[in-house]
Amino acid sequence: MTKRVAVTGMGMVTCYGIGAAVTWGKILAGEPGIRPITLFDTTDYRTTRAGEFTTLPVAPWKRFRGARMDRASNLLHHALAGALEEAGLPATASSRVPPIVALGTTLGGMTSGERYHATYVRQGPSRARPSLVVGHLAQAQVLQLMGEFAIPGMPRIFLNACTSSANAIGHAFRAIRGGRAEVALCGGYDALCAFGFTGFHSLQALTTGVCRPFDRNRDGLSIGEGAGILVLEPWEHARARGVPIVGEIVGYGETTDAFHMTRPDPEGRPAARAIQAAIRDAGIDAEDVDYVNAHGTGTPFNDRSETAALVAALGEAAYTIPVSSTKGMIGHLLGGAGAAEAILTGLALKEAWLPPNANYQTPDPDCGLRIVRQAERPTRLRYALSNSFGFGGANATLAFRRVEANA
Amino acid sequence: MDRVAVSGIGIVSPRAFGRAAFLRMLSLDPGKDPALRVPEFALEQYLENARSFRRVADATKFALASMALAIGDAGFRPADFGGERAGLVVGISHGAVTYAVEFHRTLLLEGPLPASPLHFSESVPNAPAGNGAIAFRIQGPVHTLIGEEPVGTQAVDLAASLLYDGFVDRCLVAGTEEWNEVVAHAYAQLDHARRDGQDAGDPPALSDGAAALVLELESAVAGRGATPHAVIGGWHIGRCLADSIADATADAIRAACGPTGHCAAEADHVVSPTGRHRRAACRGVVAARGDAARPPEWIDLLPVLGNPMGASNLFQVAASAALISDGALEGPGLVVSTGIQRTLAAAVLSAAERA
Repeated sequence: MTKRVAVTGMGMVTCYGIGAAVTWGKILAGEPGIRPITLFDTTDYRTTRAGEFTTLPVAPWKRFRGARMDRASNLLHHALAGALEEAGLPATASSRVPPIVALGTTLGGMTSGERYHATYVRQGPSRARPSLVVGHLAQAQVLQLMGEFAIPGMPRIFLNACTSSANAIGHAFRAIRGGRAEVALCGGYDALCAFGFTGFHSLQALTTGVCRPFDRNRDGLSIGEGAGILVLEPWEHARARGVPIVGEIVGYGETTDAFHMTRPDPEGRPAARAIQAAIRDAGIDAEDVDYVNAHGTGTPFNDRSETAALVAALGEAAYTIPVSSTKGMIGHLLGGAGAAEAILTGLALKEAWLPPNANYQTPDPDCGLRIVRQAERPTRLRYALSNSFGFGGANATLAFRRVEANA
Repeated sequence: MDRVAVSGIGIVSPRAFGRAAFLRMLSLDPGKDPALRVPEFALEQYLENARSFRRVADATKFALASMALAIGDAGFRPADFGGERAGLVVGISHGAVTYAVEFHRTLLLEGPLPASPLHFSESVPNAPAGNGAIAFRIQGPVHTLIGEEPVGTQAVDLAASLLYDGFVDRCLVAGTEEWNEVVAHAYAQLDHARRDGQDAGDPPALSDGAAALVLELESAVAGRGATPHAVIGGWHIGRCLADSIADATADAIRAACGPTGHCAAEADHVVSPTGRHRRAACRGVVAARGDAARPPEWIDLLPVLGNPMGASNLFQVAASAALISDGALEGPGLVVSTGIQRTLAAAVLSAAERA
């Protein structure tokens, strides 16, 4: 017997700050989050802006020295603390948190890896601090986090590029729905670092202006940073605990392009299968979908391919369903994107507001979707989808249902 | 209950390519030192469309060859393996780290403009999985998991859930790792890996290679008229939060044995860990077996393989499955893996029903 999957906590950190409500408020207000980078020298780059959280504070670590913790670890700490607080799960009560921990990332603690290697190259191997090599791996951040919050069990860490955290949420969703756990902590993270920024710069995937997903004049993405953590539990378990249910996940689909390492399938057919699988999993029809939070990177390839996928999956409905990408404001959080966007999709349903697709000015005939230009109140909002696509041809779609006040 | 069957084994290691050579290697005297590096080889020997992958990183190259060998060993033609009902799960610790190091070195010394996009896109952690999906047209779920040595059992666990939940009919699992001097230096500094000139033994020497398995449900293998090499009847993944790794390992073995109907004392072989804490883990095996009537055959891959980190656990599973399939051992066999940060895994393999 399958169980309904309730979302009882959502913690998020983005360039706007700590807390899902902070990011949500700034996005609805249309406040730009992409600013000049301060973390590293951008002198020789064609673009110098990103969604950096310039005032990221060191988290209040109790079991580890905060000053030695990786930037990514601090993002994770803030996001998890927020999610646990909203879910009413005390951070120190390990018995209340069973061992489903599924997180996604792309770069893990790469800032630590960069520090080690910079010293190794410039001052010699013997001067570099070797613990940074072990510490830069994603399992180190996650195991530290679990140690800090006294969470038992073994984490499952997905590194599926930009679908990583959507896959992690999907995995946790299936575990809860299948009765394999009573609480799951899932989501993902990535911190801004020179390595990742330079990587997308070398691929000429970064915008030299502003990121404008689905716009005819789009020319690339903006990198962001952050983390998103969701607390999932069986509906009845949440009700029995007496905590507010802030959202519901009802479907998940995942497929692979098997086409190219960095380019999406131009016809979007495998991505369409992921969307259809999520809809089928949710037990709904295309006409029931009232909003799509698009992957919408703002690259010419992605947005055209995603449009094709939505049309293939949803048919004519694809042209009338409101669609927006939030990457124009918070940037592309890479491995954390799926989690942040899942939370924003959940908030859209909860608050009955559709977040805007920032910087959209000129419609693209190849992307003839109904783009949400300004934050808007929809007339109907029951189900929403969140798409994530990534390097390696990874496709993932999550389906959400609005939780009625008297549910 | 339908069991998870190992129907294909693919090995790319410093001393052996393929299941048969791997079996021969296991029976030979390993000599004084393990071979740590996979020798140069042409991917064309294993992959028809190898030219498309000529610039991939070593970790990806090893993975692709091991996947091709596993697919062939399972009786599939490469062109028939993929599709929407096929999946792939890759486990790594560092993955394609050499390209990442080269990319960052260029950034440090020459600035961002000369940094090669290839060194970035082929160094991402899911490069082996992404290229594997392309090479074998795998369009179902494709995942990369990161972890310490026990990540191989995590990959088996995820593949098993995809099989049991009906999302795929067949799933490749692979572990791959490439040796890199920057990583090896750091691990040696921490005393997690052997330094140059240090005697063989503790700590283990880092190495590279890839191991791949084709997993299917036992009924599916029988349905296509094939015979699995072995079945993975139970497994457990955990982390030691208490003081004693031996006790935690013993508990993990008991948990892994739970669904199999076997107890640890029945195991006729144990494939011992290659990573840190392996001696404590072996004490845990002895504790879990209690007063077993017969001593097990201990299979130690460290002298022949070194420690290929994220790939090591699937080498262990492959060794147990290959030995059972060959009839050299009857099983059940225990596979135990441990990591630096006290993560651990145990798996129980046994003989499959004959078709």
